[in-house]
Amino acid sequence: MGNVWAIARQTIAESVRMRIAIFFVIVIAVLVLGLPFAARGDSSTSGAVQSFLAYSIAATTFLLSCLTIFLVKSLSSDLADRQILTLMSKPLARWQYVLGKWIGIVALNMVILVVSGGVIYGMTRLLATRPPRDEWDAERLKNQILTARHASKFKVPDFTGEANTVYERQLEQGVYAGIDNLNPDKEKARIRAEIEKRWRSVFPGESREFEFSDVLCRRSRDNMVHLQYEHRVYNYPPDEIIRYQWFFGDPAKDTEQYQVPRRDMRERKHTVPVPADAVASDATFRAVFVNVNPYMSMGEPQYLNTVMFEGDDAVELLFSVGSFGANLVRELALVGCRLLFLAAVAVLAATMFSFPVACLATFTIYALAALRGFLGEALQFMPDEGAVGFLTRSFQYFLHAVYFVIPNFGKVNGLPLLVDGRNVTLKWVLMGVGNLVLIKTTIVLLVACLIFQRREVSEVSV
Amino acid sequence: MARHNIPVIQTVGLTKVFKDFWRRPRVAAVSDLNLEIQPGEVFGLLGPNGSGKSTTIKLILGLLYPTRGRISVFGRPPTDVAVKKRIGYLPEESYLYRFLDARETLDFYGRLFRQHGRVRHDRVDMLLEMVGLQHEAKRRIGEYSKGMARRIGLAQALINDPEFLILDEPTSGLDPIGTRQIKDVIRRLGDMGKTILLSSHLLADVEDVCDRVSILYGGTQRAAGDIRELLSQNDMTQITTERLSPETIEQVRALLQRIESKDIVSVSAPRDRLETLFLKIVHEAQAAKVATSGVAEAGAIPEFLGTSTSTGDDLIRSLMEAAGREAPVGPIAIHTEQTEPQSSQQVLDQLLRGGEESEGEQAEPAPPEKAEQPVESRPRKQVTADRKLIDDLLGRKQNKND
Repeated sequence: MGNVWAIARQTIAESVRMRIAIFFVIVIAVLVLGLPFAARGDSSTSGAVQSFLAYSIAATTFLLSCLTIFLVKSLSSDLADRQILTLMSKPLARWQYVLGKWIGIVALNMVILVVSGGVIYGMTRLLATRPPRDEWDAERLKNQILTARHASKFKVPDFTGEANTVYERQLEQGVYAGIDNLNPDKEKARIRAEIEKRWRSVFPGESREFEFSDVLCRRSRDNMVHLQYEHRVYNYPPDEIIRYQWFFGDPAKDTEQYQVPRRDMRERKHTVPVPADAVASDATFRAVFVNVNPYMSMGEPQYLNTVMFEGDDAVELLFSVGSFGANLVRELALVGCRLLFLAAVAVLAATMFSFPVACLATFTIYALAALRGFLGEALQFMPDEGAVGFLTRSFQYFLHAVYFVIPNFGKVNGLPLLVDGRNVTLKWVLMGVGNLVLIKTTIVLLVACLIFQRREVSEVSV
Repeated sequence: MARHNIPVIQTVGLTKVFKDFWRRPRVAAVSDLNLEIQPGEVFGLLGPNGSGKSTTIKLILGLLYPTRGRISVFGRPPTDVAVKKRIGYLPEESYLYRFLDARETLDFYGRLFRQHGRVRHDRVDMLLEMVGLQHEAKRRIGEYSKGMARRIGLAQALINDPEFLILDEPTSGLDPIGTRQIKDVIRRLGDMGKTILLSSHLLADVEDVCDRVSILYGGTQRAAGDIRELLSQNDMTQITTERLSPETIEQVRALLQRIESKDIVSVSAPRDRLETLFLKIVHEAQAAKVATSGVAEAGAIPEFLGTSTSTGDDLIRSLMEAAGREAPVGPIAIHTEQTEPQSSQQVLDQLLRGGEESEGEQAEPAPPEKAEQPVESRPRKQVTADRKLIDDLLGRKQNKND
């Protein structure tokens, strides 16, 4: 490894002395140190902190990605300026050279990432010392942003038995008479989906119970858990504000009980803080949604709106499982995984192409990896018939082939979770390391070594 | 000892064809080249620009791959990393990192040979002194003149005390002092038993230092052989003395007529070469410590050079000691010491005595002293050159230079 480290050291020295790295460090420093003064969010302190976190980490990640791509000039210029002739006359294996360049680029990136992470953490804490707008702002900042929360999903009841009963009854009633190709399993599945959809819809005057398990938090009044929900509403009132109430706690398990009347804008995400003593000793939590206007005593009518909770994350219970600092470190580790892969791609491109072409190729792969989710969704809305459909299908096959190699950066991006105070799990980070670094980055580096091994470093084209 | 039976370089039918973007063959840079360089030789690769010298070197170093033919370096393929430990290479231009200073440059290349810190540090110091850049060691290479960069290029080629040194146009961009220093270094390294492959289109460089040469043109070897045999004029004899009076010259002419029945072809007073005059002036300025931002007076050959050569260790050690003590590499020493002048009559008497003693013997010039011509002790290969071709390629150009 002595030779590999010698090349890595030289790469770092070149990047620093040629001022490429210094330029990017200055831009990152200006952004990270300047954003707290510019970040306002929704005029609340919690909003400002969220905006700062989102923009500073996204900007740092983007700039470090650009730096990674530009740093590969070190390899390209060795070939273009022919320093490679002197280097390759020394006892330096070609794979050592390629690996050394990659390590040099990655090491410089990691140092800047760690320092930037430290500054972002410090600036976040500094920003959090601003006076909160109100109590809600203070609570949100402390318990919903500067923390790492686990999200527990509710259990959907098993409607298989009920669906079978309905199917048998309809069969006896002759509902399916005349249908030759009836598939009983498909029909039962359809009935089960219908029952579940009905269950997820809460009509006026109805209530629905959501049960959460494994709520492993400190059960005390001063500790808060957060119920987060998002609904679709039919027949909503003219002011588009939906009135209903939540009941928390389980009298059968002797927990504290809380009633929370709500006036919420329709079709938005809402969060209700609940004292953690409503959690039962067996780590379960019961929340009951009641579609009755709690303000009728104040003369308001009972509106005829139906509330639907679609999707498994329509209602979540969030509770703290770690600190903000550790969460930030895990998110930066995911950023590091992406940069390791990108550096390998840049090195591979530089072993084949001149610097401008290598830059362009790496940027293209970076864009494809970052936009994978977006491209996939966009293609779903393209017509799939006729000439356009043929093109759409062809492009889809092409993308499938491309994405067989190029990873989805969206799957190793914990920034939305970090900003929302949700836990970026260690398991996720380890999966990122395993998939992106140990498998894909290693494959890309092996290909780069193989290509460079076969390449004539003093090639002359006439 | 066994490994010295293996040629340092052996090429058989070596061919390199450069192709265009569409992989169509365009230029045969080297064609069917058969080359063999034995251990301890100073071998010259001669040819005009574009004759395939640098391409041959790059093939030997594994920087290019042959289209056809075979190359072995110390009996191994040129891509073998272990072989590179025994090689030092100075490319045609000093391809060095502009952002590193001289010391960092040599330190970096030393690291690639996994030299320990102390050893590396000492070698860097000695090499900087050898190339006369010890006072410019902290300047970035990007600020160096071409000649200074060339010197660092030579130093990096020697950092590993190589057994085999490849020098591609080593004097390119150097002033006369630098050129002379480099040639002195090559001679000394040759004396130490190093194998040297020197590529140049400057014929005087090659003539001054090489034992054998190969002359390339259009990628093909046109001639190869021992340089002295190629250049010697065996039908002429040259005697150099201090100034003679016209009477003495007449007596010598009469003597030659009487003994050899031959006449004197020409009599003239020798002139100093411009190089000698130039070196004398610069040497005097250096002695007077006139300020300059260029290179300082170069130092001795570093002690570590030659330590890796496994054969003739004692001999090499003694040569190194001699080189370090008596003949520092640098501006050539101007011999100022005067011997007692001899009268013309004394000279004539000696000549007459010599003529009488050698009467009846073959009138061949005496072989040079071994100490002055160490390369004479090496085995020579049969001359294969076409005399006329050599004259065309070397003699005519050299006359122009003169």
